[in-house]
Amino acid sequence: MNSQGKPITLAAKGIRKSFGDKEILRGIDLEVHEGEQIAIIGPSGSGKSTFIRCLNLLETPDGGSLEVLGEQAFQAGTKPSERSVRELRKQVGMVFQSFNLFATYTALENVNLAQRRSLGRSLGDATARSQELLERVGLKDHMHKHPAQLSGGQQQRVAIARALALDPKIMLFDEPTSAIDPEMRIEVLHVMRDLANSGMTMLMVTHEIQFAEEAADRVMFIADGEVLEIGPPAQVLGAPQHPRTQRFVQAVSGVV
Amino acid sequence: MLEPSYILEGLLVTLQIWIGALILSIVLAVPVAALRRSENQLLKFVGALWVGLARGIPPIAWLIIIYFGLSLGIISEVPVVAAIVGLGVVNSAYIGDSIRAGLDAVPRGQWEAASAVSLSRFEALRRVILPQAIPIMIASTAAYSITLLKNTAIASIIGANEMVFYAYNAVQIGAPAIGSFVIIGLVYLAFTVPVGFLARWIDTKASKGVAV
Repeated sequence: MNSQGKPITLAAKGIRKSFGDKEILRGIDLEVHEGEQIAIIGPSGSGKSTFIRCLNLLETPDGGSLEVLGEQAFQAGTKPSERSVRELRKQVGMVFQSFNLFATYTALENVNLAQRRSLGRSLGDATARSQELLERVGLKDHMHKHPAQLSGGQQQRVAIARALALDPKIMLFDEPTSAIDPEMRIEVLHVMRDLANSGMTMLMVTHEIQFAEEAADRVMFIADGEVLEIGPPAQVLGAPQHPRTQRFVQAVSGVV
Repeated sequence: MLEPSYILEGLLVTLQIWIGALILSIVLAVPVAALRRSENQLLKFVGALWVGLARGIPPIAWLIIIYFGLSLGIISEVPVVAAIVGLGVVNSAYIGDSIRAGLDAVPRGQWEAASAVSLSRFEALRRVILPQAIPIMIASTAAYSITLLKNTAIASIIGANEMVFYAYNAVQIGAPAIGSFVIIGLVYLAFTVPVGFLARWIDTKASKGVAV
């Protein structure tokens, strides 16, 4: 999908982050256009998860700035108010590697909760929207089950529905399939592909190179807290320029 | 002979001290847990100091200090009230730790997911964290309440007329020592055993409710 020329929906400039003495992000820039899908790849510990967590301010960057949907979401040196962070998170949904469904609630209640308590929707409106979303991710029949009664793939699809329930403009995925059995991954990737086809702006940290190749408009390769390469999949994955990227791509495509 | 009517009278006072101290300790434990989880180093220190003092001094010493030492009018005059306050303070340190452990048992991911869907910290605590943490807190509070029940026996030292007080006095005027204390021992067991089962039952239930 060609989304160049569309407005920029997210702009990260010089994002830096350290944990203690360890510098995890050394100044990352990224501009994302509306409806664009970006796959973020890189070795473990490269900082890709930290970067994506900075984009909804689950991690507060130490430096740089973040603009989302034309609003300044973060500027180094200032502390964003809880109110503005909460507004940001209504626009930017997140899906975690370990699903993190609310353990004491059913699938339906998981999708309902934030609609009720963050958006203030009525129970009727929230339930109608949740049912629609759970049907979209293929889990209408399981909506009264608790997380412990669902497979990893099913839990992750509930988690996607939960994030979509706030009607976000951008969706972040932090290794959404890494904790799921291989045969269950397909159903999660299928939901993500549908979402991409519907024009959702998506940033996905992933090890699914094949999926990145098919579903992403651009692939960003991060190593040691820096962007080494970014561009269309055919370029970054097909003909990587940087030796580090070449090694990584070779390694991950070797292990099928 | 230890008269059944004295056992009953003592039991009622024992239960009064137990329940009173338990309620007081739960009320005190909430700020204790909050202090200990605080990011502020001074507040954290105050919490640690409270717990250190409450746990580091034998309960019997606490009761005597409160009963004889503090002339706070009502507290020093009524042994039962002094026992409730003393044991309540001691137990608050343990319950404070139960609260802290209950909150810590809920995985970080639950907080993160709650913030990621824009819930306020209060809503996250109330709707997501506490429903998972409270059963864990209750299970360990029930376990500590057994120790608390046994510690009520110390109140006899300051003249609270609970079960040990009656048993001891009966022995002083000729009742058989072993028989009297075996009898009240059985009465304690009648409470500690069911509470122990309850604690374990809640614990197995609670561990199923937490996100993994």
